[in-house]
Amino acid sequence: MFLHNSSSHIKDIGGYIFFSKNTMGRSGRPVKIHTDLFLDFFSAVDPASSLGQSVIRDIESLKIIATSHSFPFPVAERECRPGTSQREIQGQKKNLEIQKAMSAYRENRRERPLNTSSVRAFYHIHQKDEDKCPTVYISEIQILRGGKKTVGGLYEKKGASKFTKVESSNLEGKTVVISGATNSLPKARENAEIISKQEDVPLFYCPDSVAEDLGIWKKNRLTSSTKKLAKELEKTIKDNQKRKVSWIAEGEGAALLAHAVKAIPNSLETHSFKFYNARANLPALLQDLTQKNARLEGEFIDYELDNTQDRTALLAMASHNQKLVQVIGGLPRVNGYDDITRRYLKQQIEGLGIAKTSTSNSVLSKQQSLRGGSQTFVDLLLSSNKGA
Amino acid sequence: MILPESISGPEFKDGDIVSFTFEDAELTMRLPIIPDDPGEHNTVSSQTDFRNVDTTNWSHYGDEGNCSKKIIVQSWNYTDYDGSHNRLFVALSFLKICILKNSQAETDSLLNLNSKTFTAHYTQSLHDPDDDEPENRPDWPTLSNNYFAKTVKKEVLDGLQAQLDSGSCDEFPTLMAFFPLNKQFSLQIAFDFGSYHYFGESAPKNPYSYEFWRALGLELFDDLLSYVHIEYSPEARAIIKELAEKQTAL
Repeated sequence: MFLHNSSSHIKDIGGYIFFSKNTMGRSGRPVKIHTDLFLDFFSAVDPASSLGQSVIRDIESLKIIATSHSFPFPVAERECRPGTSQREIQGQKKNLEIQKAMSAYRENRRERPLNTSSVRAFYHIHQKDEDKCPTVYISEIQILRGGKKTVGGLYEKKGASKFTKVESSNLEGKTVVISGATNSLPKARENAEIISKQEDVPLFYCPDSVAEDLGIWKKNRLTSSTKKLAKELEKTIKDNQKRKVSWIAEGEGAALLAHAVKAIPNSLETHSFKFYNARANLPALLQDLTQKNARLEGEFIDYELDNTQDRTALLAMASHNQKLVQVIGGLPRVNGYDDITRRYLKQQIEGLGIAKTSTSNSVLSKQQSLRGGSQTFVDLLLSSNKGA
Repeated sequence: MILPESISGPEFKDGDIVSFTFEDAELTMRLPIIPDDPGEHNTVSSQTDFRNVDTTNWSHYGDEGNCSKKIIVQSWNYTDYDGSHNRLFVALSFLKICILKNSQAETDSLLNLNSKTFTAHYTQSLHDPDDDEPENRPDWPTLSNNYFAKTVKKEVLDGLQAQLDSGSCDEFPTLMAFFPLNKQFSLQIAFDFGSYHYFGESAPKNPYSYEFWRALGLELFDDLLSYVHIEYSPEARAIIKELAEKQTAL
């Protein structure tokens, strides 16, 4: 009769495992999490960083928080009227206890949010047959994204110290960076300067909000703001279609580019493209660009950022590894140095297939292997992170 | 300064002291200790001696020989703890510190070695006739209010502090400061600070007002500037004194 109060997010109630060694019930309430949430958690939380550690600690604190919840009891005890028999009094007391238990049960099963800085966890309390005591169940993880309220679009340096949004620009002979989803413009600008090795490089800025729409495992259902941004990028490319432009797409910027390029008619033969930690279906994008005669020269795929591997980009790569090698193999022939670098690039990606993709694939399949294992969610997160 | 009780993040008073050497000056300041988080910047130039420096590879601008070099880039966040175990990002900072090189004419004029000429020069450099004048925003830096430019008092030579509409449609202006290092080089500090907002209708809301963050940003910036210390050589001090005396005599 209480099923309507149970979590609506996770249907598979058998897939819960302990969150970490600290939440196995030795102190405070045990905390369990559903294995289906592994991929989202892996992408959002780096346990080696102080931010990731604070997210894990905050979730672990549920073992204490959840014991301190006070539950309202809507049923008030009433004084018995004179002349009430002992049997009736006992009956009323029993009814009251049942109602209290039902109220507490309903309250426990009510889903509550816990906000950490980058992740919102939804949990409820329940004692299943195999549980020794009431246990905290995390049934939903939402990745929280945010930043400053700066609008996306094309930005260029103006004067000595301004970096201004422009509606259109003549990009002849210029390199333009399409940023990954970033929470502030100065940060995206700095990344762009590092990637392009150019100061004050023009930037097509993607705010952090686009990451939600352009996630590599999500269906492409774009919100109006991301659609508008893709349209702006499409217009920028169209305005400069006959000009010579070098584009570098970083992170989710590659996914935004994929949307924009689809709507570009005719040739992009004067445009060259490079990708940096691309979080996109790169084989499909490369095919689209090749059909429009775009230039893909030298090592046009790069996956390094300050010697730190971007784990989500790597997973995007892993999930399209073979296809990517095939597409690169099928690109129009090039001569000389470009041919050598392309062969090197293929070897690199194939190498990644052996050295990294095995780890990445194991991460992708981890949610299945998690079930029935003895490891906790955080243990697996740590081991996967080391591999990636 | 002390951050409000529930807000936590790097503070300048606990920061690392860094030093850079120039002809006739030694620059010392404190930089906040930044957690090593993904996506954040924390770069300090490994080159600390800028005497007889080759500026060929610096970033050149204008057509009179000016150029600049980034020496520090840092970014970090502030979090708020609501007492119910919810910890959220509430503000973010981006700090960029550059060395600016004067043109030959500017160097020859010795404008850097006098507080008045230095602050006048950099106030003028902020002026942009194309700047929009937003309505009903008395707190927004514009040409009319001279970008809230004010002198930063220092022992030997004063610096200049101002606010700038960076042109990025941001709701917070960039806080800027300039300090003279020697006749050729100046220090430029740009501090972007503002409130953090989560996206989505059901997302947590920032618990503090815009006015609160504007005031806190200015306080943090003042705090940062209070740790900027420039020690000038006796030769430079002599010229500075001579120029000041000449100006008083006029």
